Amino acid sequence: MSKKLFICLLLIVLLPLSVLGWLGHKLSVQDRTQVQMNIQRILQGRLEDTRSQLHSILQKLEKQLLRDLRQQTFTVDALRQYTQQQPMVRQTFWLDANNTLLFPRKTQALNAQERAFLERTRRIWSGQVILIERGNDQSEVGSPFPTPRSAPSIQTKRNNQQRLPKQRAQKRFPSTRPSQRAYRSYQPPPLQQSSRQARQQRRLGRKRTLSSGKIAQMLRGWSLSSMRTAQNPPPASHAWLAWYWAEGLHLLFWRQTRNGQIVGVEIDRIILMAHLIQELPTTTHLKGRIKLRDERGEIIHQWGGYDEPKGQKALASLRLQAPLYSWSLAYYGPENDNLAAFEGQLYLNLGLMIGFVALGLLALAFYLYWEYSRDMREASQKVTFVTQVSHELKTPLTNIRLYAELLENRIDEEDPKAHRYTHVIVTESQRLSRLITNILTFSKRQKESLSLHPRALDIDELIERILEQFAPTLTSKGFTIERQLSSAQHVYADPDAIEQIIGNLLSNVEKYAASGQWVKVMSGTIDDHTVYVDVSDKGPGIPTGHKHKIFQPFFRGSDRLSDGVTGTGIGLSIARELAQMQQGTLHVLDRTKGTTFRLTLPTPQRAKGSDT
Amino acid sequence: MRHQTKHLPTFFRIHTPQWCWVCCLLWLFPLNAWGTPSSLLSPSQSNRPIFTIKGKRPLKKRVRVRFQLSHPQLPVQVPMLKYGLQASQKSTKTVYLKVGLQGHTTTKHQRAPVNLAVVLDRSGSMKGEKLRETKRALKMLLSRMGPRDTFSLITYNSTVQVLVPATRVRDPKAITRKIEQITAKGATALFGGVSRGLGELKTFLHQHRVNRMVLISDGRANIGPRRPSQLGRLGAASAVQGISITTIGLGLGYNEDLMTQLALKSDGNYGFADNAKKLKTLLTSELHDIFSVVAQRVTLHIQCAKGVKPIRVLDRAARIEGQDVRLTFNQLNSQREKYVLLELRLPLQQKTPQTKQIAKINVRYNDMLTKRTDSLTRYSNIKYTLPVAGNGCTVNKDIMVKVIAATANEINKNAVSVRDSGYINKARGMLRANASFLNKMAKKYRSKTLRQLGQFNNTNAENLQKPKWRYSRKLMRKKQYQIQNQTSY
Repeated sequence: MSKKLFICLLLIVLLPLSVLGWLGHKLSVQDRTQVQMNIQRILQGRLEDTRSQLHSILQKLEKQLLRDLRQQTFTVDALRQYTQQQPMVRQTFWLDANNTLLFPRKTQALNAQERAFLERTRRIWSGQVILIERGNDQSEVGSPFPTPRSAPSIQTKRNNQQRLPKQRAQKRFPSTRPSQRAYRSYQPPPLQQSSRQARQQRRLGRKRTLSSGKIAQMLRGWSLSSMRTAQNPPPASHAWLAWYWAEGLHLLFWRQTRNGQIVGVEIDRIILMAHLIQELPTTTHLKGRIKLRDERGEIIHQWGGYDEPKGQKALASLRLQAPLYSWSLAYYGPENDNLAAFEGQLYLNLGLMIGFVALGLLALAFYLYWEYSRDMREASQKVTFVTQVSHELKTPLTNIRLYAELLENRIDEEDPKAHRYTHVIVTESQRLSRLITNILTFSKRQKESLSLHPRALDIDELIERILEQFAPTLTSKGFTIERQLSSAQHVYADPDAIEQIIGNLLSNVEKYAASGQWVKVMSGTIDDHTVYVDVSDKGPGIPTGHKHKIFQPFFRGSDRLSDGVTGTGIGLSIARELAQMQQGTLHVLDRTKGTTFRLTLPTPQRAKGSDT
Repeated sequence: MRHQTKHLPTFFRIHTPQWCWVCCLLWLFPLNAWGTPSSLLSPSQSNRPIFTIKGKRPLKKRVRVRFQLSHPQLPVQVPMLKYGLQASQKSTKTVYLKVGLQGHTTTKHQRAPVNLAVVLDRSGSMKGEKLRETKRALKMLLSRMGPRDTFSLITYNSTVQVLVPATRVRDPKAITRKIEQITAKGATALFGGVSRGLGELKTFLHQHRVNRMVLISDGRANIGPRRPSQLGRLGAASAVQGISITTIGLGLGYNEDLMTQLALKSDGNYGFADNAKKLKTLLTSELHDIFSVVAQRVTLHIQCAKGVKPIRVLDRAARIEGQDVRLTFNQLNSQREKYVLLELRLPLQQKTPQTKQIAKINVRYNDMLTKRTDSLTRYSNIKYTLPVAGNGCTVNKDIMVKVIAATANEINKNAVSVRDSGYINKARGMLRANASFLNKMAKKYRSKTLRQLGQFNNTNAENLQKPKWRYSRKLMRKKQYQIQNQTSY
């Protein structure tokens, strides 16, 4: 197979494969990004599910508290009893319609727990600030309970002014130390409201002055049930409050009765955590791990079968909804596990596809090669056949030629007719003999069983003998034979092979250059070591592009040239092969008209020198 | 009386030989400062009750209540007074009221069904012998339970696993197989484990079941809330739900403060097994404790009479609201008394001897065998006569021993806090002073208990340096817990 063909076939196979591979890679990168996003979405979805679960737990708790606190009148004993009976309630409190604390009050006989509660919540009752979280991105500062005549517009305005910036609110939890987080103090807002708002503001301010030690600054809390309905919900009759005390986030829940009194409870943070843990899953078949963290980032609960290495970042995280806004959920998992599985699948598919395409392309290349080499194979089959036939023909032909020549010598010269007939028989049998020799040589060459027997010989003498053989035929066709034999040296060659070469060249002249009616055989020396033999004609010549191809087996020149001329197409091929086997060359010289084949042969000195 | 009459036949069948008595005994001893000789009590009559109980009559109650009153005879110059102890200096009016509650004996067949959750630490430190012994002990525990009982098994390391959800013990082999599968690895999410255990107990939570959690841990909690006070609150909340938590510390690596708080606030027991092989014994004792519960959710309400001021309850958490003192016991066991030592301040002078009501005592509880809520209100009106004090009267030895033990216990706790702060010598001084005080009192009252406590304090005073301190601290906490909560083991 020629190099060009090999490269072509290789390109046919490799080019589409590399394009396909590149596209596949691009696709996989895109898909990877997509899958990453999907994984992120799924993880976020999981966390959102958990968040909803937690939210619904709080909603249930709210419902239960609303049910428990639905009476219109309370007694201290009943409230104390309620505190004792409810594990999650750390303390109850009770305010009258003017927001004066009715229970627990310092003047009452209080137990240690109640005194501790008053100390914990001192700033709430003195009207100073607590932090209320309102929804996911709102943090408000102010007092928790509604006024007897609440004024939402003012509250909103004031809230806007007092609202902590979002980033600050978000940064606060991890960075603030517990001691710094106990309470946030409330600064009265500057009076920049409208006159109506200012009036109300003053009224509220006056109320605060009048009711020292009472709750004067009134702001709405936050109700789970109204959370999704409105940005600024209507005055609620119950609400959650979140504030930060030494341990961290604490929750208060209050409910307003019809007579304006407020009864509320403090939820025990620890018991709330335990309650959430009871409702949340334990270790499940979850491949990752979900962690519920408090406002300090400490783990409250975690589940899932994945033990994350130290320092690994969460794959997804989510803040809880208010009032537990400062708590968060985080998902940890094997970072590349899902992706690796996906990529494994993707690359497997891609590999299979490329494999199939490669197989198809190889099949195509093979088919093309098959098609391309069919002519060769057919010719080879022909040669095999012809060779066999030639073998069969050679022996009878030799006999025919021998006896024809004997007959030609015996026939009386005065019988020109008989003489001519025998001459024709002899020449034609000679020609046939050359043809068969050519075929057999070609066949041997193919089988690499051709052997030559070179020796030093006088080339001019040999040429003369060959020309003598061809002269009758050429002359009969009107050729003028010229000869210029001036080889000063012997050549080292097989005379049969030289005869075959020159015979083939002359045969070609006879066949293709009959129009020139002229043939010239020249011999001479190129240098001290090389002898040349030129065979020239004045025929139509060989197109420049064919000068090399004519030496290929079975190549026939242009249609114009070969029209009406029979030939096997192996003559020149054999001639060159034979020349090259004897360290010679055979090529076409550039001529403006006609064709000149030059055969070069080594002198005995050169041939022997190279042999040694 | 209505419901008691209704259940009379059943009760008789079970308890006829153990006819139940409620004894209210109030001992009043002369208060020196009042300076008037007792007209009612002479040294020879020192054991005679001087408080009369109105309406005293035998009743078939599951719980027996005993009241005793004693004048404090604490010497003024005892070293412990430096450490904030309420002393009765010139306090001739200060007395101690002991209210003891005791359940009735039951036989094995009469025990109440048990709702038990075992919460087991399976963190990496449990590997080896500890886990092996724990499994063995658990299998023993399981074999003692019956089909009426419910069992759940929760394990925790970095996460919490509900190995056996709350189920009736009908197929112990299946549970045993689960126990066998436990392996040790990871961190210690103690809070999560306990919370989940409470959740499992809630499945079969019933006032007439003995609801108990047994926590076995050998390491310090490092995931979730982990401060003793926080776990104490969780314990208190579980007590509200009628669940007691018994904590058992294995080895020397666990946090005894956390374990004691959890047990104390939930009115459970606390065990310390420095060797894993002790676990089986501890669990056997625990089972005995569980099976002997006769009353649950026992609320004691002591309503002091006008002029009688309740100061504090020694060594036990109580709510004192004005004249009312309230305490809750999660359960009472048969054959074991749980008592309260209440410090009272009586009115200064009564010129003429008179009978005066000092306190009204009300006890409510769930009777585990009759499955009824019962109360003892009718027997709680106590009256005494004033003035009663006189020179030369002996104090009530039993009460004083308990008061001294409780007082010494508080000093012992303070000594541990001081040692925790790094003041080893100061803590040693406290313990030695405490020991000499206890020895002195032991001689005075001829009390073996106080003498042993004195020795215990002396021994601990020598073991405040590392590495002995680690073991010694656990031992001290265990003893403190035992005295404070009056546990059986």
